[in-house]
Amino acid sequence: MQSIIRLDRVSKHYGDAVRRVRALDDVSVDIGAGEFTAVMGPSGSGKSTLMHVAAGLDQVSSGRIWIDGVDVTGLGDKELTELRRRRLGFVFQSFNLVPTLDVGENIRLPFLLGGHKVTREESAWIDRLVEMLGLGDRLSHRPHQLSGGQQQRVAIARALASRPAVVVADEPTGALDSRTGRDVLQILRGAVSEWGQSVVMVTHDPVAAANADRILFLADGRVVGDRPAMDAAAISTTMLGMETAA
Amino acid sequence: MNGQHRARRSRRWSVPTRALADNGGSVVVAVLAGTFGGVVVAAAELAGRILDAGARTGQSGTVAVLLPLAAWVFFGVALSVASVVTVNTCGTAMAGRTRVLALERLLGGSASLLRRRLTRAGAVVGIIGALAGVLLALALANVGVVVAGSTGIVEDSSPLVPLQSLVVWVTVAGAVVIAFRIGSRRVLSLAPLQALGSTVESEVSARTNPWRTAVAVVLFLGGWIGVAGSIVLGATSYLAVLLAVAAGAVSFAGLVLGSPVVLPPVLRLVAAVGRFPMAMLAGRNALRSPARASRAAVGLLIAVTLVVTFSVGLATYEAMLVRQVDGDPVYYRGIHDQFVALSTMFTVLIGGAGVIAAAGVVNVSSMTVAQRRQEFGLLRTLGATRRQVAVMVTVETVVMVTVALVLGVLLGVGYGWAGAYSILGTTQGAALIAPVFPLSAVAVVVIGTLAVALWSVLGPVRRAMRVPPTEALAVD
Repeated sequence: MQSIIRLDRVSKHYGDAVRRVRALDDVSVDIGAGEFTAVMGPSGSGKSTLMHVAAGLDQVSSGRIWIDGVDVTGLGDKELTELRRRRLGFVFQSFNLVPTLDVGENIRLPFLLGGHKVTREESAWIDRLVEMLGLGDRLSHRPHQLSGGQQQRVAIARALASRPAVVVADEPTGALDSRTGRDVLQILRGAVSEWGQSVVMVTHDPVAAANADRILFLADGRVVGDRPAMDAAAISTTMLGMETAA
Repeated sequence: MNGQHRARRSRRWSVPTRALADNGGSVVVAVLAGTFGGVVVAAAELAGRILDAGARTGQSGTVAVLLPLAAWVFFGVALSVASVVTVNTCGTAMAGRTRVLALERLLGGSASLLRRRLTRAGAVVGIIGALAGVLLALALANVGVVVAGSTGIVEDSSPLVPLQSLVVWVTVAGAVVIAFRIGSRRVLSLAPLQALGSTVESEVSARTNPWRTAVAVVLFLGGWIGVAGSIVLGATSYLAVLLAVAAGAVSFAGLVLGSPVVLPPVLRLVAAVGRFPMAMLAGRNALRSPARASRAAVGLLIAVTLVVTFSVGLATYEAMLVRQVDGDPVYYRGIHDQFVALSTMFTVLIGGAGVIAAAGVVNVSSMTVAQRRQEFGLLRTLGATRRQVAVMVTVETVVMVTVALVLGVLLGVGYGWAGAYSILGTTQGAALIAPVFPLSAVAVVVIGTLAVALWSVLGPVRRAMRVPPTEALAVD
């Protein structure tokens, strides 16, 4: 299997030598291309840190990371920024749209930051995304005029617009009710199934993780479980088992 | 028992010291405003003593009346600058505390309780800060008196304790309380849910108050009619200068009040001149939080308007005097020399006002950046380089400076001209002349403003650049 993100013996610690907090402890994992991977774990398990370093948002203390074949551990801030803009898409719990830009501008923001014109082909792709996500009649709206579910759709459109190598989603359903949350998960699931988009999603919600092809369980900065698709009940049982073991 | 005693004592201390510690920026402004007001008041009295010592007032009775008048003019200017800057800075500080206040609401604090507490904090900050400033000013002034006495410039070197200092103290303290009161009005409309933070920022510009806008328009237009009236009345009474000052203050207050409506669209338009993505974002940001965008601009506008008003005013006044001296050398003997000495002193005072306004701008800029960490983090995550974030913040500043400069120069020419003519209009041989625009003074204004703006934005830009992309993901 081809990997889209590869972590090789990655450790990340915070604080000084005396009070060292080990957020990631010698983690090696391959995130498969074209797969929907969920990362689960209790609070403080290191799942957020894993996502930060795997998306080039934070530096590791030791080990190496490849994103889409590029070793990012030695990259400078400028190269990392460019990599994020071109190869990664982000979906956040709190949507994080730019409030001063309308929906269309928000979706095109990564292109705007890159300073290059949207090509005809890219434009056609964005139009298709807008159509698929049902945002056609919302393009000139501003984020505050949209519901939470609609805002998250815009964020997903923004993440997919540059055809990134991988979409990184941080609790994408955390701020949504269960019905709109389900819609959002279906959209992500559809992107994986229909055109082989790679998606990594950090979540603590078993129902959300049940959409994934593969589930990584983290505890105390280590990968303690690596399982193929499971249903929500099985995921819950696994999580509960981890809680009592801890 | 001992512990209880200590606890009671620490509680007694905690209210004022915490109020001062939590509102560092506002304290600085209150102290500066108090110092400035105090120095102006003391300087006016000192100027009187200098004149008494010399008794060189020529034969013009009018000029003898003009000096105390000018002192009152400066007194008024000092008070209004101090108040506006204080209200401005405290407002920004308050806006930065929305989250904490919302959390306290969430945890069960009633809105009225929180408001009372904020008002009390404002009273502590205002009373203590302004008092410290006034005392500092008195100390400085008395050092000046001793020096002047020993060199023989003044004969009367008894301690200088101008009663107007009390008025300065009360006014500055009052301005701080009012600013906190206005700022705390937000608390009433604050939803406790805002503490949870994942909701999108609500659009402030959507709910501008039409009454406020109407009042602003009335004040601005009415003020300018008053200024024009003072020029007309200036031909018959030198007291017209009081009308000029009052009307000028009213029109400026109108502008300040209306600035959240007027300035952001102007800022956006100016930003649109730069046709690159970060300029576009910078322009949009002006609209995002109109109060925030206009506050910093108003701080700068005050400084520019003040300096231009007085340089144009003094230059015009001087040009009128020179004509009159030419027309009747005997009558105006000595007045011109005296004028030069006094104008130097006033220029220094106005420079002081500029410094206060600048301190306000620095304050506002750094608080503003501190409040925008998540926004910068988001842009960084989505692929904005550090440089782009720096460019965006810089463009916002440059645009603000440009608008403040242009507007300030326009207003200052009008005010200065009206002031000069309304004072001298009744004197013998006075003629209405076009406003004199001293190029060197304007160069000083432009360079000074740019320096202040750069100084105020360098730190914030560096901090903005250092915001890590992970900041966007931080829920809190």
